Order: sequence, then structure tokens, then C-alpha cells
Amino acid sequence: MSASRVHSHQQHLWTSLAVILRVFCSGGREKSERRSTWVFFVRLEQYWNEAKTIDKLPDKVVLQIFSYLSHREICRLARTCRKWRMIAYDSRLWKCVSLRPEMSGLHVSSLEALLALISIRFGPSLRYIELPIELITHTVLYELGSKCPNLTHMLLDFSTAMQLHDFNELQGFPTKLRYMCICLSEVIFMEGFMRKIYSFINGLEVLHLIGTYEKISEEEEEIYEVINIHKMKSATPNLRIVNLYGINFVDDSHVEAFSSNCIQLECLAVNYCAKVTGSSLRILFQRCRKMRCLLAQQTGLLSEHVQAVEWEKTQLQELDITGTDLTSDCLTDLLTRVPALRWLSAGQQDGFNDSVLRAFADKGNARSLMALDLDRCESLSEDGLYKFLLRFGPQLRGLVLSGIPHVTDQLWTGTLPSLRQVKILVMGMSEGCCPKISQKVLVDQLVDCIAQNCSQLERLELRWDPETLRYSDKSQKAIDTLRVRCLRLKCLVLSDGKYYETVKANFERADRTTVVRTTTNCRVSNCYLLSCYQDLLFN
Amino acid sequence: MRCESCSDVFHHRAKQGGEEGSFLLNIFQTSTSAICSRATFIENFQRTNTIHTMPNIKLQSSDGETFEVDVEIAKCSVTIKTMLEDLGMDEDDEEVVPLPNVNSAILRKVIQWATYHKDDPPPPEDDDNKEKRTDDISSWDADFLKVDQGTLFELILAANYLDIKGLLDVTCKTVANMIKGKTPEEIRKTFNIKNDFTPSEEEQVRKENEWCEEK
Repeated sequence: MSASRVHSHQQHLWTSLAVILRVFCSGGREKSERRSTWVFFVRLEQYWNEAKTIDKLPDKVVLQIFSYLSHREICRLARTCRKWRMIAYDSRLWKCVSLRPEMSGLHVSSLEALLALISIRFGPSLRYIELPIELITHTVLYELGSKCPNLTHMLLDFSTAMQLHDFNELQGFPTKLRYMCICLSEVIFMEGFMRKIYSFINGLEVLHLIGTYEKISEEEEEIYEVINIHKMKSATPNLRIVNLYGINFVDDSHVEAFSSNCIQLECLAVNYCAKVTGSSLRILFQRCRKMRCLLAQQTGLLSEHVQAVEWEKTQLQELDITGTDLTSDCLTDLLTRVPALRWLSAGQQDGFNDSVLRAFADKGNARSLMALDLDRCESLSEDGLYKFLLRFGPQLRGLVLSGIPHVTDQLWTGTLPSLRQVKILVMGMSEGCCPKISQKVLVDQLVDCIAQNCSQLERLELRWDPETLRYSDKSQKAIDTLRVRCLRLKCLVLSDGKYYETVKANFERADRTTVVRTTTNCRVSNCYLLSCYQDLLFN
Repeated sequence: MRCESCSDVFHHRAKQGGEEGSFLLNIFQTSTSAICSRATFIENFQRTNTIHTMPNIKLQSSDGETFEVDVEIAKCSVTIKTMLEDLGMDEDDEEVVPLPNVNSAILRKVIQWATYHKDDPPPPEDDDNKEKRTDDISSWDADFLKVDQGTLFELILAANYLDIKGLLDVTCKTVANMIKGKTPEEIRKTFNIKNDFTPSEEEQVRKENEWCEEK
């Protein structure tokens, strides 16, 4: 409601009040009655005069409102009025700053401007900063080290580097870092920089090294070991979480290296590091007794190496072996020996068949399982899955069963009543190069079934193509039920098409504009359920 | 009519027995009245029939109205919780907690919010690095906050005074959403803010924040 409408309401009220007051005062009423009427109107007047506007809010509340806005918005707000300018410059709003414009961060035009900002705007409140290559210089790092004593999280993006700046003069560096993320380039060697900071980073607990997996071109290019991991691990004995993402040179020797010095290690992720075969996993688990999370998606894991690990002696709770080519025997062996797994991602495994699932259910420890991802495991039968879900469904919080053509909406409607606690759900398959699905999916009944059973649902993805979905003019009722019953739903992903448009319009009419998205720009996965999800976030 | 008064009336009439009594009970138990849900009715009915099992507390608004609220619900307000602990208030006391900064209309709404959210897990401690989202307001909250600006700000002030983090968060997010995407002039219009910059000050602020603008 705009301020002008409030004002016109006030005017209207005053006119009516004046009329009523005149009537009462001129009439021959009892003195006491007149007095109580008077008191009533005075109270009303007080209420209207005190009608709250935004400037009545205390500064700390306005600060909280600003904290929900991006830095660009905040800079715009500074131009509204004097009070808001003062609040916008409060360094508490500048705790987490990203200066990478291509990652929707801010753009600082010059080094001098940045140095000034560090002193004046950021100062002791700064906790987290992201720097693009052009701003990673020894003066900036020194400034950050001296002016920002509470800086604990830093991201340095070298990925677009043509050449490293000279760091010989580096005098200082933030000393309290707990989290560091380095985006590596393919060709720039990091040693000139790293050797100057090793002495500052021994408090590091979380390390991300982001490789160039996504940028790899078709031809076999020369692979450079751009960062010396053996030296790194000696400098960082306190690491708990290590994420080596898509680095083309990382292999088993590097895994072994981390295990030799970082005995506090709890989580190791080597997703997309194709050269890792798992030969050092046995020794990793022997040395790092606290290891509870291993993410090795799309790596080159070999069955014999996986079977060599003493799984029964580990504390492992979370495991990702998506896209690795393991045999059924290996999988059975692994799943029957590992202690209580709560999170398992084993998608794209042809070897994951019904006997593996049965062995896991009967002889393994599936009692703690709360997240399961079996995307594209086509060797599993509808019946096998049905039995498993009937038994373990009630404890699941996340379930991904997409990409399996024979998992139809009928299986879902049969198992959804067992999935009452589920928060994350991914189903369906898009056609692509896979065999065509002969049956259409009756999406209205499916959506209704989801709505009736899964009130805790937070994220839902239906991957079926628009041509596969069949819906009627009653679909609005099913969508309404979903919207009204699943109040925690914050993300609903559908394939772009007519059905998506229908659902989006429905949610927008109910003012829930950000919920519905397309599969082209959003994917749902179980990763939100990982215990160290927050620390594993990068970029 | 509040739930307790409903149930009192029906209880009395039902006790008088006969056809009317049981008929009334039957209607109320099966109707989906908007006044109160069946569950709440039965709960209150049983309560007036049996020993007082749910501890209540009386809250008094600035304009003298008293609200009886379950102590656990009232304790979502850290201010009230501290008051109870400091004053060593017994739940069976007839003591009334005065809230001079909150009028009855707003207090009623706050109690409504707190009752709906009573089973929510405690809000997590602010994570410094998480980008603060504003698109996670639930449907119920969004509907609850479809009010005029004056009421919205009153709710913020009440949530701040009573120290109810969940309510303060969701109301602040709502205001943030109202601000998003607007130019300074549009913001001034929406919230009736006076531009107190001199022309030279205005120019200076614009220059100071040039670096934030789109590349």
C-alpha cells in the first residue's frame, strides 16, 4: 500500500471524525458520554499520528533489511536519504564481498579504489572475499592482512590468468584464514605465489582447488601440474575438508599425500579427477580415522582398489561413486561391509542391479540411510526398487530415481505413501538419446499423490519431456493442492514447455514467484543433505 | 468469539442435556467452522472439563486487552521468556505480563503467527557466508503479511521489541522484497522518505557509489 493511499485514508478519516465530533458536541448529551466519546477520538487520533512509517524503524532493523539486499542495491539505497547512506556504509553489511563481476560480483575499476575500500568500507567486519586475477597483487593481499583481522574466507580466481603477478615483495597476508578456494588455471604455475603464503595458512581447515575440467578442449593437451600438492599438504596439517574438483593432473599420489599429513581429514572430494583410481584409498582410511565423507564422482575408480579398502573399520557415512565403472560384486562387497551409510550416490552404475540392492538391504547397514541417488541405474527392476522403497522409504529425506525408463509414474504412486519424510525428490527421464518411453505420464495424478503424501517436500524435479507428460484441464486443481500442501516447497523444476508454463503461472498468481524453474538452468540433487554441504560450496 | 467462549457456551448447553445439548455438540464437532478448527475446539472443550493441564500466561497489550496464551508459545519471544524467568513466574499465577509497546491488534497478529509456527525448529545461527535469501518465505507467511505498510512496520517493531527472530526475519525479508529493483526516487515514493540531501551532497553520494553500478 503506497504512502499516498495511507494519506488519503487519513484525510477521509479526519473529515468523518470532524463531522461526528460536531454532531456529538452540539447535541444535548450527558457530559460523561461526551467525555468518553472525546477520549475515544483522541485515542484514534493518537493511533493515526503514530501510524508507522519506515523511518520509525530502529537503525539495527533497517540494517537487517539491507542485509537481504545485494551490494549493488545497497549502493543505490545510499542515495535515498542521509540516514540510509549511513546505514549502507556500515561495515557489517560488507562481511562477504565478491569482486568478480562475471560471477555477479561487484566491479572495482582500479587497485587504488580497492585499497581505499578495504580500509574504509570493509575493515574489521570483512569475513569473506572473492578476488579476480587482476586484483590479486601483493599490495592488496598485504592491505587485507593488516586491515581485515577477521578475514577467514578467501577465494582467489586465477582461472583466467595469462601470467602471475610478481609476489616477491609480498610482506603480509591474512593470517586467520580457515577457508581458501583457489581457482587454478591450466597453464600458470602457482609456485611463485604459493611459496610466499605457506607460512600464513597453517590454520586452514577447508581447501578447495578448482581445476579446469569444464574447460578441457577436444584434443589431448599437455597436462601441467600447476600446483605442488605435496608442498601444500605439509603447510596445512589442520585440513578437515579437501575438495579437488576437476583437476586433470590429480591422481592417487595426491590423495596419499593429503592422508600423510592431514590426519584431521573428515571429507575428501575428488569429483571429476579422472586419474584417481582408488589405489590409495586403503591407506587414506587407515591414516585418517575421522573420514566420514568421500565424494569420487566420475573418477576412474577400479573395483579391485575399492574392494581392498577395510570398509568395516571406517567411519564412512557419505559416499558418492556416481559414474564410476564398478562391478556388481564390488558394489555388493562395498555395501555389505561399510558401516552405516546415511548418504549414497551411485548413479550411472550398470553394475548396480537387484542383487546388489537386496544385499544392501538384507546384509548391509541401511538403517541410517537417508539420501539415495540411483540416477540412470537401468539394471534395477521396478519390483526390486518397489520392495526397497517400501522398506526404507519412511526414513529417506532425499531420493533421486531419474533416468530409469521403466520407473514409471505407477511405481511412484505406489511408493509415495512410504516417502512421507522426503524433502528432495527427483524423478522422470528426458529422452535424449535413450530409447523412447512408450507410455505417457499422467502428471496430474502424480502431482496430486506427491501433494497428499510428501508435506515436507522442499525440492522437486520432474525430468520428463513435455511431450511425455499428459495433463488435463483439471491440472490446476492438482497444482493448487501441491502448492497448498507442500508449504516448504522452494524449488520445483520442470522441462521447459506447456506444462511448465501452466505450473509457473499458477505459482505466480499465488505470489510464489521464484519456486518454479526449468531444467535448463536448475538441477536438484541430494547434495543439500550432505553434512558438510556449507563448507563444500564454492563458486 | 474466541474458542474458549465457544466451547464454554456449548459445554453449558450440552450439560443441560437433552436433544439440544448433544445436537449442538455434534454440529460443532463435525462442522468446519472458520471460527476455530475442530481440533482446537475439542482441545478447549476437554480443557474446560478437566483439570487445567496446559499452562497459560496472560499478556496485556498497551491498550489494556488481555490475551491468554500457552506459555510455550509465548516463550518464542525471548523478551517474554526472560521476563518470566527473571520474575520467577509460576505458570498457574494470575499474573499478567504487560507489553506497553504493543497494541492489541498487533499483539493478536503476533500470537497468531507464533501459534502457527510453534513447532518450527529454532532458526539457525546466521551463517556469515551464506547469501541471505528473500525467496524462502512460506505461503502462509506471505498471506499473513499481506497487510498495509503501517501494520507491517508495527509487526516489525513488535517482533524487535519482543525479540522473536523468526517473525523479524520474515518481515524484514518482505520489506527487502519491496525495495528490490527500485531506483532511489521510487523507494522514496513507496515509503514516503524525505530526500534530505543538498544538491552537492547528492552528487557526492552518487560519485561515491559509481563503482557499484553496472559495468
